[in-house]
Amino acid sequence: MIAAGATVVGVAYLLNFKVAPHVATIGQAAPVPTDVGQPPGTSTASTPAPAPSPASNGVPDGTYTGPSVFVRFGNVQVKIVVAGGRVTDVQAVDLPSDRTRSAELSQISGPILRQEAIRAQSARINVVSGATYTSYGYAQSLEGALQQARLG
Amino acid sequence: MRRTEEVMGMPVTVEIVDAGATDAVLDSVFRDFRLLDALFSTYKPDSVVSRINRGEIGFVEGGEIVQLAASLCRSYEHDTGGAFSGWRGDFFDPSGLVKGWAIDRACSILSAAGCRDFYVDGAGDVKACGLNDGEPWRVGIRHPWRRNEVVRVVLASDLAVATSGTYEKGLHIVDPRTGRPAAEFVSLTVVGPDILQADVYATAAFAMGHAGLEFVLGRPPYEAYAIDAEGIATFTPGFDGLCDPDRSRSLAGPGRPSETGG
Repeated sequence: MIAAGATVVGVAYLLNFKVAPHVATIGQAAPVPTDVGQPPGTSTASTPAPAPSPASNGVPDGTYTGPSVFVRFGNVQVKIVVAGGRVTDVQAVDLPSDRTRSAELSQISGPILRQEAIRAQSARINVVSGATYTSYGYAQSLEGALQQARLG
Repeated sequence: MRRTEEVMGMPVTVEIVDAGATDAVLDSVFRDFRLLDALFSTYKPDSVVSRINRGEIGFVEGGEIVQLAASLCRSYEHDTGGAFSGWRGDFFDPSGLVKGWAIDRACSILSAAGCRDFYVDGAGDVKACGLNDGEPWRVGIRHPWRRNEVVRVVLASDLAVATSGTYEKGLHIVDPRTGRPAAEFVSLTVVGPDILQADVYATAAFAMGHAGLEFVLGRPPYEAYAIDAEGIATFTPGFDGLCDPDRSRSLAGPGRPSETGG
């Protein structure tokens, strides 16, 4: 499971975009088709807990699970936690784990590759490259979860 | 001029620092992202790809852009020995291709509009063109566990930086056959001239594990930098030359970078 602390930033970041006008159209998309990489035993349906104190935007507290989205090496599924009308957490329910091919292909490296221990820098930068989501599949499942919570 | 919008369910940032920047140009860039999403989403039931996969229409009716995507997927499937694929059984799923392609198209739109100095960042996959204040753009490679820090800074001018990985500590999936973590790397970054190719290579090489570095090694001028769960980086020899050599350089100058996921 993903460390919650590491993912909250991503959620906060995503929610910032909810003010963008075009985002309103995303929430109008039809329900997720069930034929999209749905593994046995998982469900796209969520069961939000009753809202003890409904927020002003009417979104009940609870957890909302996005669809399981197939990516090249497995399925990605994301759930969000809503409290007080806001998303307070996002967690990966399922991430690709099939590394069969990598196991098959894994070889001892040639001498030409180099190695180093990574070292954190607080360098001046313009933009960051990194994989917070498992890319498009993660984003799609998260979007589905947000739609279920009617936050999308 | 800089704008961030959520498109394809991910944050996309475009920053332009030359005089060619206008709102209209940015509008057309984001319109193109939404166009591709409407065509290629495997999640939206009314997308062209969803309709193809339900057998409602064929590739011919799907239009030329979808046919081109299928063709690109076939090419990269061949190039990567199947480590990258746009198909899952009989289902067409070009998700792994679409983000890099969308960024590439965005750069083409910007260039055609006369912009020279800009970057396009699609959730952590970046293509940077021209210069920023007379210097190459500084693209940090995110530290796998310290989200506000980077481990390397790529000096990018007409260069793409794409990263695949889990990037979340604790995600140690154990391979039952070996008892060792199944994923060899927590992240793998590919740097090279083309963002679509860099993105596909990052996806494929990450999946290949260590062999993925050899794969990139055989595809100059692309370079790769992979980080494992122990914090050891293994990289192709040309990677160093693309980075800021001063690794102790501390934060100076205005502002923190945009927080982008990938």
